[in-house]
Amino acid sequence: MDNSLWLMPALPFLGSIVCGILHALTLRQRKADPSMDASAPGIGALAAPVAVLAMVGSFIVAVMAWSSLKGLDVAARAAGIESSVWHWIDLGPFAIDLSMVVDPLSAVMILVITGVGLLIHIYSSGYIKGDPGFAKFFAYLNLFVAMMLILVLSSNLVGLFVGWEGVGLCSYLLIGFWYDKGWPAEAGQKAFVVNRIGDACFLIGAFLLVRLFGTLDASDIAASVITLIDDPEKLGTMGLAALLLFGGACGKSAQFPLLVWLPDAMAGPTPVSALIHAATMVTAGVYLVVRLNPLFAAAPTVMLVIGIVGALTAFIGATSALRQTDIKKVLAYSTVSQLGYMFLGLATGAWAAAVFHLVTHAFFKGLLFLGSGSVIHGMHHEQDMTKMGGLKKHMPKTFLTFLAGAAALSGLPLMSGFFSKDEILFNAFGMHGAYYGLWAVGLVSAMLTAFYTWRMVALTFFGKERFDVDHVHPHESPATMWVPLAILAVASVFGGLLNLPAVISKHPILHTWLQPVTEKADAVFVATNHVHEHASHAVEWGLLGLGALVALVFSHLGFRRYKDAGPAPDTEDARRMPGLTGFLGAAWRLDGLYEAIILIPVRLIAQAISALIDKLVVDGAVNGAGAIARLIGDDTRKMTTGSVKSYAVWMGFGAAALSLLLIWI
Amino acid sequence: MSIPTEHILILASLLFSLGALGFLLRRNVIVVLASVELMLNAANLTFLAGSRAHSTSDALSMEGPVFSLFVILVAACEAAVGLALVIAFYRQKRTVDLEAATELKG
Amino acid sequence: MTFQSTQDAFDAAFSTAALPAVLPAVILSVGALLMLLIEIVPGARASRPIVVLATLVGALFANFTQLSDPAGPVLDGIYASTPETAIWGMLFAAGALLAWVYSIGYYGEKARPFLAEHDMLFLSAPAGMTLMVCSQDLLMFFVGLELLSLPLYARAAFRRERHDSVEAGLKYFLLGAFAAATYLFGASLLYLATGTISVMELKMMMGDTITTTPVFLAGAGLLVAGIFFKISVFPFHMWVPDVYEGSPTPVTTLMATGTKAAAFGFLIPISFLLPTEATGLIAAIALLTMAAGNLGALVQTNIKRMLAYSGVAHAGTILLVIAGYLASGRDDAIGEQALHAALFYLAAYLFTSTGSFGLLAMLERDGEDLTTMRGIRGLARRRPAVAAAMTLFMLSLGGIPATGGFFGKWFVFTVLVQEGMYGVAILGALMSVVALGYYLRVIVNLWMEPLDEADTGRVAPVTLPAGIATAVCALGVLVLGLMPGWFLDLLG
Repeated sequence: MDNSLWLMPALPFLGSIVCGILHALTLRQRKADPSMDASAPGIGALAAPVAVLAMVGSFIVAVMAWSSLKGLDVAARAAGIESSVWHWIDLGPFAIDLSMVVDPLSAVMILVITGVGLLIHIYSSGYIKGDPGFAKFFAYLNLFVAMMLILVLSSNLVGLFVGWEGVGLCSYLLIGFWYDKGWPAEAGQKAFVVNRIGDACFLIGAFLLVRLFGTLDASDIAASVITLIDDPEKLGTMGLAALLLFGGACGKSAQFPLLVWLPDAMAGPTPVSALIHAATMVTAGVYLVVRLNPLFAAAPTVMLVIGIVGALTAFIGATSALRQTDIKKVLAYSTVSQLGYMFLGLATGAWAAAVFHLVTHAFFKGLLFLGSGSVIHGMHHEQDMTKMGGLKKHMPKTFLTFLAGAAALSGLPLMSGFFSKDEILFNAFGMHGAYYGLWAVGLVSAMLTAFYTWRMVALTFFGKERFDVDHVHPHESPATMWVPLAILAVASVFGGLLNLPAVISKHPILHTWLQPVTEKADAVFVATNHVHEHASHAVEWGLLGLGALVALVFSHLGFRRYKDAGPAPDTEDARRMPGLTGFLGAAWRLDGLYEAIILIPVRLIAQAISALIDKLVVDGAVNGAGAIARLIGDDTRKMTTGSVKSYAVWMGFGAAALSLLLIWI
Repeated sequence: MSIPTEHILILASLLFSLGALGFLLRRNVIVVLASVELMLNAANLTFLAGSRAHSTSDALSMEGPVFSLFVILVAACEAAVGLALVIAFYRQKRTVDLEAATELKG
Repeated sequence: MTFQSTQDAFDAAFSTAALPAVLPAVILSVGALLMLLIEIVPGARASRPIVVLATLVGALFANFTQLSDPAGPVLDGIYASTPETAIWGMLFAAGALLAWVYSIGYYGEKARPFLAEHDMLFLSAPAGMTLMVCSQDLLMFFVGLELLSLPLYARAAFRRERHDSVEAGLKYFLLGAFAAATYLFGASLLYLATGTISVMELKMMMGDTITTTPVFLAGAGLLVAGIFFKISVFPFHMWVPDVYEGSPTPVTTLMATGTKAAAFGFLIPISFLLPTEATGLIAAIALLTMAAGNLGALVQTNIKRMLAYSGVAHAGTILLVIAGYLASGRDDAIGEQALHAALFYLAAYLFTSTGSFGLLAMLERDGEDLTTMRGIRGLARRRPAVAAAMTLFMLSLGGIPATGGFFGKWFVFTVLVQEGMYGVAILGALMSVVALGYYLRVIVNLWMEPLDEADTGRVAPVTLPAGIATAVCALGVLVLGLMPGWFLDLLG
């Protein structure tokens, strides 16, 4: 295997270049032949097969890597399969060696990325057909996959950061794909800026790691955490590093308070939402924490912070999804909420459970997004659920697969989401103390999840047709679109088999598979006397039952309430509780809050400073000095405030202040 | 009886401040140029005072005087470039008022 | 340096060991003088490009030989050649060469007779910069500074029929003279306090009670303030956008890259003059500079002006290494690390900034509005290679990994984090969040804005020299980003 690992990101990267060239050729073709329709693909039509082939190749390499990793014995699996090393920087004591490593964790990630990515590529070839930027879209999409693979395969945090920035850039490009619509490009910028705040934290955290460990190699760091936990000062620095890295994860994975960008990112084409903003990129934060899990295990306070943030995000996301009418917005807030669950899982040290939820979420949320894309496609770019209704007879295939996704998301018994969510909640329950509160928040969010999911299903597919039946003729999507849906639907239903609860299966597959990755963190837990108590089987059965009951009851409530909804389904609530409805509809008014607590003060301070400096310093100095000058007989009739002078005043002021301050301190 | 170094320092500082003030206050570019000369001469004076303070009977501290020679030399070069620029400016604006040089801003 | 006899002084000055060390500066000065002669010798004008190329390549080579076998301090210790100065020198020669290549074809018919005069700048400027970084005393630095600055003032106003060019020259000159006077008064106060102008001797005095007297500290403050003008940190930065915008773009290129680098090349080694208590002050100045540069750049529509403000922000970032050095209690090892970080940062910045200004120079030939955000809209459709290079430069300026700009920031922040200045590091990193906003706007305009079909044919063609220069710059950015170790190995 070894060096063929490079092929995995290289294939989509090459595909991206080819698609880019195809795009340029299409533009040339169009220019040469003005009679050509802007939506006619021309030579760009080749982009879809090229991109899909690149993904197929990448997927095959990923499967081969996984199978050869599987062939190794358990001890060798921890080290993984490593490609040859590229010495990026060699500064004696500090070196950055880049290589690609497939270990149990990255094996899971690459299978999800290339597998779900392949399906979404196929789906896109139907969805994006007729768009003037057909080839460009695939160039971006392939580039994204290449970057995401670099992110998860890099042995080193610097390489990880290259991918981390790369996926951010692609996300930005793809959110703003329909730039001529005006607002998407702006949404892209918001995503980018919020992400950069996270990235700043990430980088500083990485610097601290260099300082602590002298290396940025992820496995070296993970292995040496345990050697440093006896030194309280080092332990404190490690906690700070963990907190900063979590800040980076918050940006990428849309956790509170950096969650505002993800709903806006829905402005991009729907396959992008499915691939980037549900299945892969947004889970990079979860991946980062699991990759460095011993570091987090050594910092219980940070773990608690992660838990609180995760639970809070799950709750904010779930409540915000309750009142959305845009089908993609519901899914976006739902994604925010589900990512919150993953972090709640991480906070309890249930690494495998978080990864399990990551995988099932990639299946069912990818499916729901693609399904919503199919609906939007069939409804001629209508996203408002209040203008849908009764679509089940128009789009039966989409409807059936969407049901499977909704069942998994709402956690109906035996669906994939049921098992993965339950394991997270079970682990939170087992932690006692403050975690009981987090468990309760998680459970309430699960109720809300079931409710909004079935509200969405009811509004979209059931009840009366609320659109203009004479003019809008919803149609089922082509096979390129529904076949990926069907595959994902099967995965969403049966994905739970990957990691059945301990009460059912002695050796949950994923749990065992990830053992080499998680055992280092468990060792740290033991060394810091922070041992997990496993709850009894009775408790686990009880919680499973409770989860099933809650999901069934609230799914039923949500469905029954909206299945015969009129054209304005929520007016009754809005009339009765205008404040709460508005609050939830605007996602807790976080955007407005940020404006109030960050932008407005910054603007005010900037204005105050510039006014103060202009009035007091520049004018004051010039006027004051002018007064002195008049005293010594100089005839300055007018006070001079020319620009060279104001620059010079600044400089003179600066030089004097610098000298005086040096003397003073 | 020799003048104490402190007094020369105070004089030089006054000279420098005066030059700086002239630079900040006057609108006429030629006068502004002359103000810079004043600032340079404050430095020259300090260099010479320093040389006097640090010389002993058997070793002269020569850096100060040499430095001030260079300063005088450079001041002449600056004047040449500066006046050329002022002429170019005057040709366009028909004035030597610095206020006229505010087209570039923001 | 108190000489016992005149003989000693001459022996020190005319030692043959000094020749290889000063050779780069000598070659450049001779070339500059030749360039002036060409002007008056009939028929010699055609040899102009040959002289420029030969001189700059010669200087590059002369510096290169110093890299492996530096001569160390020569000329009685007023001039020193070290691996660092050799790299600085190579950067200056390379930067001047690239900026000169971009100037080919930039000027119209009117300026043609004066081109030798113009090109002389591209030889005298690196000569001055080389003196600045090699100087081991305050006088030598001043001479280098003026050798660089005086021709630069005149060249800023080179397009003397244009109002903006003359205004830029005049502003630059007046404020530059003000700053030079500040530097000189600071130097004279230091001399008055200590009796020396030698960097080595000053350094040995540190820790003495002399160095805590008001005269010494005021001198250090004024001296540093004078240099702060050249590197354009807050509040000495206001001239930058005006002067950069008004000057001919090839001249701006030189101003933005080499001048800043040379001033840093001297400032960092002499930052021991500042007391360790000034750590917070310098950090605050650096952060304010970054804020002023980034906020100023955000609102610009003229790309040249935006790059000027962005240059201010970069200067602030580099200044952070001095804060790190002071925080270490003026530890020599950290000082060296700080210098290397700045050297790397400025090397990357030189290629990036030269490339982006150079491309603007190329676009500008056909009309002013092409260097505004509007003017470059949809450029990628017409000149994909130009747009791709510009994108690379913007990404490097923004510090995206795999470009030289990333490692520049990386090394700077490493110094800070090593010294435990987490707060400063986080604030600095947050500033780069703001910075990406405006770099991205350029990229968005290049690639994503719809093309204005009415303008077809307006874009200047890519000339061969500009194409080669851009390729070199892009290569430089990528090599520094992908193989930074190679550059660091040069430093040993």
